Amino acid sequence: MPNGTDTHAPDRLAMLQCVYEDNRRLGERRRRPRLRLRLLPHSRRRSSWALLGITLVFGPALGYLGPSVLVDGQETELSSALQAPPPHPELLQPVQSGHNLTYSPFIPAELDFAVLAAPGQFPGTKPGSWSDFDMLLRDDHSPLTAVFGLDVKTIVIDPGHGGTDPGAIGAKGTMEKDIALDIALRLRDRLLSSSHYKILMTRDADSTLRLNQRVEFANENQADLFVSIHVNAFPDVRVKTIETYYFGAPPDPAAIELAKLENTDSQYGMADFKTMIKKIAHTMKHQESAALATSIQHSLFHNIHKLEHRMRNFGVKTAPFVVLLGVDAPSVLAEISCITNVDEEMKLNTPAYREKIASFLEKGVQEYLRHKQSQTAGDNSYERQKNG
Amino acid sequence: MNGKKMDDSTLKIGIDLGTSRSAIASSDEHREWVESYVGWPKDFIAQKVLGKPVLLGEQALSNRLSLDICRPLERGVIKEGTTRDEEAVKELIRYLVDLMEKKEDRKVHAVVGVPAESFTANKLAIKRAVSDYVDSLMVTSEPFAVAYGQNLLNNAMIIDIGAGTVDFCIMHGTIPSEDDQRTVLTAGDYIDQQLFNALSERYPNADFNINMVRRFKEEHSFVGTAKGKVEVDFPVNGKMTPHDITEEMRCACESVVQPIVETTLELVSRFDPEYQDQIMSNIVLSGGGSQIRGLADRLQQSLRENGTCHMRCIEDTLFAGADGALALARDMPEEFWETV
Repeated sequence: MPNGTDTHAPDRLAMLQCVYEDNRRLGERRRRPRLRLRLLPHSRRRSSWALLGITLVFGPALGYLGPSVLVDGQETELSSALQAPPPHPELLQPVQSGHNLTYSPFIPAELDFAVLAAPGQFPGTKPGSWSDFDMLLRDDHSPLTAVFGLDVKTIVIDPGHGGTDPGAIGAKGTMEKDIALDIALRLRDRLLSSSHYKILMTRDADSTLRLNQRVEFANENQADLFVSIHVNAFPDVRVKTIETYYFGAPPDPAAIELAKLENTDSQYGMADFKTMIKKIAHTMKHQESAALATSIQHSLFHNIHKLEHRMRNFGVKTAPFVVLLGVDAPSVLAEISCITNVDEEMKLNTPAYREKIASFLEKGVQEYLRHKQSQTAGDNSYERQKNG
Repeated sequence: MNGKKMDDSTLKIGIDLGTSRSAIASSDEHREWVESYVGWPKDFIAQKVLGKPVLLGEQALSNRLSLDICRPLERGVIKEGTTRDEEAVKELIRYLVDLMEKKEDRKVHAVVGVPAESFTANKLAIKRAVSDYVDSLMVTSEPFAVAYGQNLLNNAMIIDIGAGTVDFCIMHGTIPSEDDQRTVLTAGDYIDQQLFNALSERYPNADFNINMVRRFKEEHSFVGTAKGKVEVDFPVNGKMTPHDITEEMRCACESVVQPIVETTLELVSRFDPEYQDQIMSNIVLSGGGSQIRGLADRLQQSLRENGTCHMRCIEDTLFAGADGALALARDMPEEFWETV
């Protein structure tokens, strides 16, 4: 027997008992019915995207008028008309889906434009006839949070996927849900130790959460910021990118045309007060989400690019992700890496790399918060410092 | 291992299922290993030529053109939902257990080492694959099995550098929890891929494949200063030509240094600060990757930048996992063995 080093003679029997107990638990799991992860049948997938589309179309509209409505398409069957494939697949946008390197379901983006005008654009206004209200919404230099002196108290971190939903899976079997959770936990620990904010997690274990549960969690806990962490997947395995999303319709000529049509009448009165309040909330969320996304993307990309020169910057984007739509607070979705790239997958499996990503995310969030504080305080020292 | 009286009616075995090689050790003092390759003849003709329905190890590798060949233990575990891989692992286990030449009426109790952070599903898949050939079995973390076999149970760290994974495990007098263990994928296969990429870039007209690159690595791997030029032969336009691959070999092998250093520091830094120094003074490298010339010294040198570090390599890397699993099987009280 090789020379040992243990001077305190550890209790071998206790160790053997632990091995036995571990195996016994494994045996018990084995006797339970196994959960099989598989893609939805094709028809179910189609109904899923259709329902998500409906959620996107009517969700915001209902949000303007009263409490939000959540549509759960999990067990719902649609009529055959609604199950038909989308008429313009080229206009579809990918949404986060927990399935193995697939891009389904899709959201018909053009429908989304019907209710989501450009930020700061109040339905019923046209350029040249801006009121004080319009000016307030459109002032890029004075975000509404600064105007109203609003501060951040609670940050919700949302590790994507989880439980029965593995998210994307890399060639070596690495699951998006595990990477997202690990980085989210590291980000939580970092923010807890470096700031006074209340940090909450939508999940802190390998548990299944639907999108609406994540949204409800954030809203019920009065989140001031919402950061969702995901890992990208591409059919082209050479691609390694970083990108950060916030909610909104992607730029498209159709949106501009639609906005023109909606801007035909600039008159509104006291009866529009409720809608104006909603609009302020919407604009504020949009402004802050964009600022947070920019800060996170900047920190992630510039720091990771120093380590990996082939990393590509896909930038800050808008996309109609359901989880970003439903959360009341400014919210972003960061795609921190590409699990389909084997190099990246390998690196994501090292705790040190995950810790680095968490630190870059933290820097992005902290930078945004510092900038916000300087705006709220009304000083421009931050800008001076930033500009050297 | 602890001198307990052996029960002759039961054969105890320890198995180390590896991505590259699998090893078995039995209480009859019998040890065997096999390259973790399994191949089935592609068609009727191939089966007739080869004369066997399934080939394993070196035999499978050398006849790979006639076979549907499979290396089932990616990262040391069976890929979930891949029935062919599960089938291949069964064949490997059957082959290894058959090598133990057990008598018909003798029971077999086995302990199988799996990577440290192996998910439950993988452990279950391995259990399924093994259970057809043994009467009772347990799975345990591979580095823990190594630590147990080497009697490194207190204030030590095992770094098991395999082909598919590098497993880290801190031992502190009790069975390691999840927080005491890490698995990273920058292991032997990763080096192979880096070397393959570098050679493809430097010698675009040369013909070689990943198996050849793996052989080059096993023969010439090193980090730090080269002892001489590393020259290997591979064909260019059908003609075997010598190529200097010294720098490519060094770069590929050194690509795993940083991840191992960072993971070690990360794992140790989360441990009780009072004991961190003792752990850093007792790091043991195991697995095939620990045989890379200069690796232990380089790791030790890098880790010393952060304080104390003493590192050594296990001598019999091929059987350290299987021996450790066997030690567990031997010491395991009879009442803990349950029929599968």
